[in-house]
Amino acid sequence: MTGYVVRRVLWGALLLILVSALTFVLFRILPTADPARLRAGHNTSPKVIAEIRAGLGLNKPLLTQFWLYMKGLFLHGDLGYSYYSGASVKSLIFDRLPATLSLTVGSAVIWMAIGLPIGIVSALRRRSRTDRTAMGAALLFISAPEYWLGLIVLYLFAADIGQIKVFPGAGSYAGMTADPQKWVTSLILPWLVLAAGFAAVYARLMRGSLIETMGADYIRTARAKGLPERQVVLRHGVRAAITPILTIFALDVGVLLGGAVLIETVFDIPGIGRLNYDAITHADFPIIQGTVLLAALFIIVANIAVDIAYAYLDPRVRYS
Amino acid sequence: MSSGEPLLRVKDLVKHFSIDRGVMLRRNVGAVRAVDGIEFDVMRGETFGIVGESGSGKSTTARLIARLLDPTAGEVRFAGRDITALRGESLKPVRRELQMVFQDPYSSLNPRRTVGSIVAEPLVIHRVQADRAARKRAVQELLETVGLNPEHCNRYPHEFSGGQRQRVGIARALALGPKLLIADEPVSALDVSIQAQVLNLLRDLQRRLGLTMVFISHDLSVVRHMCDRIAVMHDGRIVEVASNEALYDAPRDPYTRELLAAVPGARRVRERTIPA
Amino acid sequence: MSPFDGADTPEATASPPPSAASPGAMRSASPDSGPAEESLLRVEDLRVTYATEDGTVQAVDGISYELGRGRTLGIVGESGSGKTVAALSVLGLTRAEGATVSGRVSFEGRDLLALEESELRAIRGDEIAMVFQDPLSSLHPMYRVGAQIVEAIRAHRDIAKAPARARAIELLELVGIPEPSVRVDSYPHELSGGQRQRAMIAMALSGDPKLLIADEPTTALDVTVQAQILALLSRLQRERGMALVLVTHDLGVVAEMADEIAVMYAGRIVEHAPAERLFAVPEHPYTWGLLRSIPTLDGPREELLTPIPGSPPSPLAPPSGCRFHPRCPYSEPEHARTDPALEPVPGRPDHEIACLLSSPTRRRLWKELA
Repeated sequence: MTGYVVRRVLWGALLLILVSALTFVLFRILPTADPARLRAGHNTSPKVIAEIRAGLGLNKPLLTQFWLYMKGLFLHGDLGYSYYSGASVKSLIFDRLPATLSLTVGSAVIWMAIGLPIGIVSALRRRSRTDRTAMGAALLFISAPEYWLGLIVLYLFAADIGQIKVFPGAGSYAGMTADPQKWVTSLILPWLVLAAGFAAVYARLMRGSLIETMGADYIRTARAKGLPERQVVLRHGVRAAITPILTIFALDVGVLLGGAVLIETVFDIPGIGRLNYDAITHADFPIIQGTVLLAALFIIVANIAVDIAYAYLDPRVRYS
Repeated sequence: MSSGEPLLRVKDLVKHFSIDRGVMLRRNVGAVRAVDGIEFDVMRGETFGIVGESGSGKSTTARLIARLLDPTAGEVRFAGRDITALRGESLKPVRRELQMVFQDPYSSLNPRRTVGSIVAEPLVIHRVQADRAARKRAVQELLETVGLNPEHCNRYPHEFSGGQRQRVGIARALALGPKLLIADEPVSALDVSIQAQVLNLLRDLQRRLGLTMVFISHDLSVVRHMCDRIAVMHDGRIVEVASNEALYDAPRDPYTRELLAAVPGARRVRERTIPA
Repeated sequence: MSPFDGADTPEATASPPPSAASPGAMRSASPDSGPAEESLLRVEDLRVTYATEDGTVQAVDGISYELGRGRTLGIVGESGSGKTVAALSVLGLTRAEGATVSGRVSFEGRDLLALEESELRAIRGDEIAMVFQDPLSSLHPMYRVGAQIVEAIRAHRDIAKAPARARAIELLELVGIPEPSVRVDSYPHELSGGQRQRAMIAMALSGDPKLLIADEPTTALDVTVQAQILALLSRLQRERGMALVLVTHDLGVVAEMADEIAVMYAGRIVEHAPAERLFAVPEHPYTWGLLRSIPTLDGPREELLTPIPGSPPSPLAPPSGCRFHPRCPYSEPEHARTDPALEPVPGRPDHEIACLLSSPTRRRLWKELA
């Protein structure tokens, strides 16, 4: 098992290096425009451009540039400097990270807490009215675009513009340490909206997985042992059914940590997604590059976590 | 080739499947010795049985002879020719003479193709019977030979029972008129009352077409019924080769005796079937 | 002091020690149950139906049999015969899979089919236990073997984890698994096929059952392992006075193990007789067909096997009248109209047969065949 884990981590590290290199290629070599000009964004004063060029070491040979880039990245965590925003990319990202983390973790908890039980009940009462309603609702929520749902929800419940003024409106996000109460209340609507689509997906996944698992021979053995049906379903059925779901979960979380741009925009939450979006509209390449690398990091880590979790959950996988 | 020479000769045949360990670069730390040095001859016209339990290497041996696997070492000679080192295109002519029938009638036929096209496929690949009409006739003849209705050539495998599917597999194997038929557990997946039908068919075909057969099975009773000479395999090695009578009446190897003793109730079934 | 101290003493049965001279020495040696002895299990007119997309499937179509304490009943049949469904229905396991079950299954006088699910659960894994065909898929792949046995123990007894685990190790040793205290923490896929099946048997024995139902327990195993498992089952049966229902397609297995054999075809029992009689004087053409179509280790080799023509009927479309008539070489036209009931052979109440031919005709035909 340890060999398995070590192998996965090493491959992950290799992958991260490859992605960084690829990012370097994309952001420094491919743009036909002058990278320094791109870095400068809309600030096109020639003096600044020359400064940037020197700062980026664009006058040096390509390989040296690559080496400096990798060294800076891996040894100093230097993600570059945004001339447009006038701050280091790292600091900007770290400013925005807590919001994205709060949003992701909160909605993950909610979507699992809602989606999985619904999926289980649906699987056990296949083709009943409960099942059909649940899966129909799931289809609805999967199809509904998040931003649309977000706007509807704000329209209905936001304190400033809503019909029933329950929750704080868009833009009221406050940091967890700064104002805990506001932090929670401002996130409730975004959490629910983000969770809605995922809960629906996971309900369907759980339903399918459990239906398959409940047909297995070991379920028959569990019943033949005289176990109460609840134990059969949960400890035997769900236990086996949940493995593929948890692995997908890790991947979904990994992707979300790279920024849920639609939710963040609708609810005006200062997260990584918004950061990225703003950077794109301003052609602020250092930030874009930084967020891309960050997203890649989260996804690679999530993938490694998935592989390890799977081996932990399913003992048959450990011998590879 | 004189009639005294074996049609198939296997010498020091070895097949190892490697086990790799290691964190980043996978090193070979050992091997599963599936077939660990076996030797036997199969004479023309005889049915040669290979019997053993799971892990004995009998299925691997079947695949090695049929050249579906490459041997790690050793030699396979077919009709006087060394076919061990042949690969790809050079194996093609050999395949016309050496065919295989597989165990599972449910997975060895492509469910998306009609039975007719399954049986015709070898003819197409080896470009026998250039025109379609002649091919169709050949296919219908083959289906009749194995006891199926030739008008059913447009049906799909799932429309047939297990025993019938196995007959399709046999028809496919016979399409090119092979000299040697390798049957890997051909009746193990079938119901008892159907097994007899397929076994009878194989014996009948062998007599009519002058086939030589290598018959692999874990079932000692079936092998006794079908085979002239039998090799008993255990852990990748052949522990005994004997004629049918010798093996069952006077087995020499302790493992063979253990196998025979383990067959449940066989002797008693016979004992009792003689009316009191 | 193990809370199980009392449980290991075998049930007191009035059975003489097995005589080595008689054939089938592995079978339990209870005397023929006279009418006075109450049978352990009595199945009356059991019918099991499934509603499928393709129509109603009558998997079991009215079977009846009795089993005495400590005795072994072999149920023999091919695919579609309904033998597995019949076995599962004794414990009510088919209801969970959506089947409609009718009839009566009396266990020590109580009708199992009429019980509440909770009462039935108390019996499952305790007084009646079951062992399945493929131990790799019948054991949960993600839990250790010991944990699964402990779960079975604790489902019926209020004991703590530690003593339950000790009991699990004892059981593993009882079934002949080497190094039981190590193997108790193995996952099913880490054990060999034979060891897995032994572990399943250990799990089934944890409640000290009076009846063990084994559905093709050795089909997935090698022949040498098969012999070991059958010997194990025999030994356990003798030591515990346990009754055994052995479901299989292998006539050799029932020849070895069973006191009585019921042959099932298309959801019905077509012949039910003591083991010696079934092999010596079988009366049903299907039984003849089976006996003559299987190759054996003795007997002349030259004879061609005599297969039964055709294939077993699909449970969706059973033939009319006598279910076997399309494949029976002796059927008459009216056999397609009349359904034979399972009745005793004249003069032999312990040998039942469902056939429209007359008994003298059958005897003559069998003499000609054998």
